[in-house]
Amino acid sequence: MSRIGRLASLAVLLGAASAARAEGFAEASYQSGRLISVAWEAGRPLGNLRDFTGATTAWGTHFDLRLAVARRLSVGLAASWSWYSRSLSAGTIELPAATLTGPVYRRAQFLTLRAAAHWYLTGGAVQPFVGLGAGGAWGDTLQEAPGLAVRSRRYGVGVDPEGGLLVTFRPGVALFLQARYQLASNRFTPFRNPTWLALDAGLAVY
Amino acid sequence: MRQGLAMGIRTWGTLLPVGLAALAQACASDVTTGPDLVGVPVITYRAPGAAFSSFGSFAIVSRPARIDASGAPATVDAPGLVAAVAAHLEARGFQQAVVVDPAAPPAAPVAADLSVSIVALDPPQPQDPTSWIGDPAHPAPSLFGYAGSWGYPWTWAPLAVLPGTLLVEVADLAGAGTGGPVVVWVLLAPGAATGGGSYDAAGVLEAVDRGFTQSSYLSAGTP
Repeated sequence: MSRIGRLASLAVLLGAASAARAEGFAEASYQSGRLISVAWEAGRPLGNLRDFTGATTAWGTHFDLRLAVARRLSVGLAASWSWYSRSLSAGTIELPAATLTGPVYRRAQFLTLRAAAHWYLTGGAVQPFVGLGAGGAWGDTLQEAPGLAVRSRRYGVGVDPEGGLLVTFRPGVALFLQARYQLASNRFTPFRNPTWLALDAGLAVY
Repeated sequence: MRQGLAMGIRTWGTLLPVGLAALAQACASDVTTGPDLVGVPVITYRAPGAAFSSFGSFAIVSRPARIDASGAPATVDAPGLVAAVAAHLEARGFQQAVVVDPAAPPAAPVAADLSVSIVALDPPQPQDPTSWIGDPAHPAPSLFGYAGSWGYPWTWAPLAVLPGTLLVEVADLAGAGTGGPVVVWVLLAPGAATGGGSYDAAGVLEAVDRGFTQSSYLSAGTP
């Protein structure tokens, strides 16, 4: 093994040892820590939302503030924004007493603000967690055809089971990975009860 | 203490750009219209509660009327368009009973359940969705021997009328009151004839096909 190879191996070993020694979030029962995470969010629309926007790649963001209230248990607030869009060369827009066909652009975006609780299955550098969130969801849908735009904005209630992983790679800093199954009760003109699967990846500090 | 502070600053130095970028994305204006939409929309209106199964026959104009900036009554030569509309109605179970010549409208009401008007809307510039309704060149119920004016029992979508717009109106003659017949179906295709200006062009006939396709309820056998 070359000298560079040996140095690289040593660095990996030291990094792993350091991570292994790291104390995870909400690990000590006496500790009342807090965690803040910021993540990019990609999503997959499901059900009615999928019929509306298709399975196009979605972009969004996710923000999390968690307070450790007991060993391996946290409560907090989470917020997200997600965006879905699709262009159809031949689409349909339904209006009261009218139907329009033609090239159609559709878009839906959502803002959620939820209270959430999480339970961390293990301590240490790698902490899988499961959680449940509930709160409000604001959504905005837009349908455009040549010469016509139809917009619908609605508030709703949102619930989301979620699970993820905190990978602490240096003390107090972790890679944040999370999957969230988001259900909302918004009643838009073209559809109701949007559902989507959100995948978050970002950084967390605690 | 100092070490902790330095670590905090470094951490936030890492996270802040990510957070700001995320915030900027979250604050993006939703006024963005997305991709350019080029094409002809076809919008069809249906009178609420209209029972198309109660109609069996129709009277149709032999030539489409033309509404332009002049305001003078005129017609366009588009036999293919008239034939296409008639063929679609017959395919849906309606029987063609009368063909009305706009140059010699009947003095008495025609013997048909429905009237079919076809209009070429050619304003020099985009106009309001209903600008043609009050135009003197717009065919009145008198074209089919009826008094009064047309009734439109719906709210119009804010779709501008462009040069080369096709309008097809189907009205209920069987139930016409003293105020005039109520229109039960409308096909509006803004800009369908913008290419060569002909209302027999493929784009216009395609708009007619789409209008009927998206109106499956328009059938003599549909309640």
